[in-house]
Amino acid sequence: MSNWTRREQEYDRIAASRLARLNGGVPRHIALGSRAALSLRWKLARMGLEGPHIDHAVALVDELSLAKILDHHPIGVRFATIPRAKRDLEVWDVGIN
Amino acid sequence: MTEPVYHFPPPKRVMPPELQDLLLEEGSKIEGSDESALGTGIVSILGTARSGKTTLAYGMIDWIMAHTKRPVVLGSFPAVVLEEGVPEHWKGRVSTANPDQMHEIERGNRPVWLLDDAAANFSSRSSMTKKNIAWSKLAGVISHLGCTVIFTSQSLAGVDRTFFRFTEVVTVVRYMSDSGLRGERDEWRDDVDHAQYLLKKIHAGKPGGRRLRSFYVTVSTSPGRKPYRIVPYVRPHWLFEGITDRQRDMLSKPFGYMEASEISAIINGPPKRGRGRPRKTKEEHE
Repeated sequence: MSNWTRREQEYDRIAASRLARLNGGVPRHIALGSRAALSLRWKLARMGLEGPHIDHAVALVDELSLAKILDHHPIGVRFATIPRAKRDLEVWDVGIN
Repeated sequence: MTEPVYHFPPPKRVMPPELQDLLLEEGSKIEGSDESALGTGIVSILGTARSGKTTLAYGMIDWIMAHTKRPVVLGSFPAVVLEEGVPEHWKGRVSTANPDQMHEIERGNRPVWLLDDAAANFSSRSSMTKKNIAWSKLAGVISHLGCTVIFTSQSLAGVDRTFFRFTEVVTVVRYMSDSGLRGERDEWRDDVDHAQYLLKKIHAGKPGGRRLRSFYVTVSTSPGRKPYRIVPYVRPHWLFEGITDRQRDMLSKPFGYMEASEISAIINGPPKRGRGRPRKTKEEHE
């Protein structure tokens, strides 16, 4: 394995580890979104617009920004952004507590 | 975190199937698997100093005492440790010898050898010495001799690579420092790195100490075996409470009880012979 490949894998692991901690951490649209998503939020808030159709519009901008950023990332990082239930680590049962 | 403790004999499940495979007698039933044991191979225990490698190796020997009839040879252990250090229930089953006698000692009895801190005896820096060349030939036939070798080391990079070339190897990974990890062999670095990730994750939020001693990870490349398995470390009661401080120290640091000349022989090789017949000087020729 070349040093370059190893380094890529290390960056992948770091990125995946950070993405995995986003639940409850930095909001995803700030960490991975674009300025447009923030501007739109402020604009809509100033105009006092609320409701499910507004939420959908914001979500659409967030997802477009996220997809644009992930276009430039390796598959490991993109895979880590898929929401899924966390599995507990499996530990061998030694039969003694 | 307080590790679970057993009073001798340990339950069979204390050892995961990967280790049972190599430690049991050939053909014995492996608990937790449908397969029968191979009964030969190499168990390498890897970890930074004071990470609990040797105590884990003693746990394996204890398990061998309880679940097999295999004799155990403590490679290069000083006689005083064998006489005063080992617990009563090991006596009669353990002996000591030099590793280069592996093809002679307990021949036919399929012994288990413990080589503590193998980097001292089989240093990768001495790969072309007579001793290491002999060992590389011997390692090719240890399955014919029916031996299982348990060795401990702070880095696989420090041990002659012959250990990993020929036979079935299960690596047991304990805590490893970052600097140790950076210097690890390329072939093993990814596996050891992943094992460290698992150790840190399983210890997260639990007071397992700086050395993450409450669990270890087995790495196995055999088809049908789990590539990485997290195993809780179970402490033998006698090793922590049933023996004197001196016995515990002897077992923990057996090399510390060697004569200086014995340690010198390991580090510098056996004493060199004299030059034999003195060379004739120029005047004597004439």
